[in-house]
Amino acid sequence: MIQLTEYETVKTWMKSAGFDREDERLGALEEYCRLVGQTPDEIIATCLKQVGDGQFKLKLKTRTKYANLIDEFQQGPSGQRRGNYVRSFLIHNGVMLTSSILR
Amino acid sequence: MEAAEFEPVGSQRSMDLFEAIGSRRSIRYFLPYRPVERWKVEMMFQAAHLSSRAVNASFIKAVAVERDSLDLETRERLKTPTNTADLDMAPMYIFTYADPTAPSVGPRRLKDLYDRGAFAPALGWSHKYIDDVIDATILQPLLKDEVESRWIASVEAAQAIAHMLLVARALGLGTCCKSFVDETAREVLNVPDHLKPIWMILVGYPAEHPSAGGQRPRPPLDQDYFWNDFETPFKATDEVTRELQRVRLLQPVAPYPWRQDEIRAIARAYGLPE
Repeated sequence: MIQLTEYETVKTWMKSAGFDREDERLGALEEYCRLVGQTPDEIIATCLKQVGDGQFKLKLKTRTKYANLIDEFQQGPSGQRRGNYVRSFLIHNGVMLTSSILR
Repeated sequence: MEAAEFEPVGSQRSMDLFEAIGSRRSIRYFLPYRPVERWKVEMMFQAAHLSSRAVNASFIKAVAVERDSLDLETRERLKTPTNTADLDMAPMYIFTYADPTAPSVGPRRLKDLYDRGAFAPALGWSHKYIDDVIDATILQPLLKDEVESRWIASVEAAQAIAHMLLVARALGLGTCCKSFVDETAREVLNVPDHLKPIWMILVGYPAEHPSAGGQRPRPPLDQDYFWNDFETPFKATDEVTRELQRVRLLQPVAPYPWRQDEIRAIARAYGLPE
């Protein structure tokens, strides 16, 4: 089985957000991946459609699906923080999320 | 939420025009619990109302909407794919629209300006010129041209918006121009059909330092401005640059050394992703 930190999207996330492989963020992402049954690279690939050389279009319905799954994922204690780790993973890979503060 | 009562601007430290221009930023983090006073919105509107405008016509229409007057579902439906938590934080939205039919008042307004001495025969103006030439050959064709009339209405409305943003800054408020879902706004705000959407201006007290990390970088002046023709770049001078720094029109460019820590702290305080 491939280590989480070997996925390209996880490398991108770690570099862009500036954290190392000991960080608790990775555990949250791993758990989320289990929930949706996909690898990190698959999640990002599903959200972005290539429209040109190095250019991507955000697939809004797919983004909404993952955002709703994050809402489900973060139920429970410390949930908001864990949910935000997953949001951070998506955001740093170019999947802009319409996050909210007042829910 | 209860807003503070009216306070004469003269009783506060006033901010001059140079500093208001120099320190205006697009603010993206607001104090969600601190309402914007109605009188401050009134001052923004009055400033907008005095902006330069062709034929002295009202090209802008704006409606101030308290965030909490909209239910959560409506606010979510206002968000475009690039809107995010800033809409939840800002306590006030100003929806701005351009009115392409505004020049229809042109002849009446122009004759009024003539009567008030803004125009005069010395510059070739007369009531007859306004009726026979300006209206017939400029205003009426303009009103029939959807693209041109929308273009001029947007340009003139944008001048009013610029006034609003600067007065907001002078009053200690933060603003940010955002796109919005037109259909949702039309549904809840009773927007007249002929108005064209421009920006939704978020208004509120900044949760970030008002400098928002520093002045945004701009290309050298001579890249965009010229003297006499477009082959002669307009060069900035040390003397003027120093004076504009003194009056705070020119300020240190972003990012301030602490900016990333500030963004992180705000994200944590509001439970937002980092």
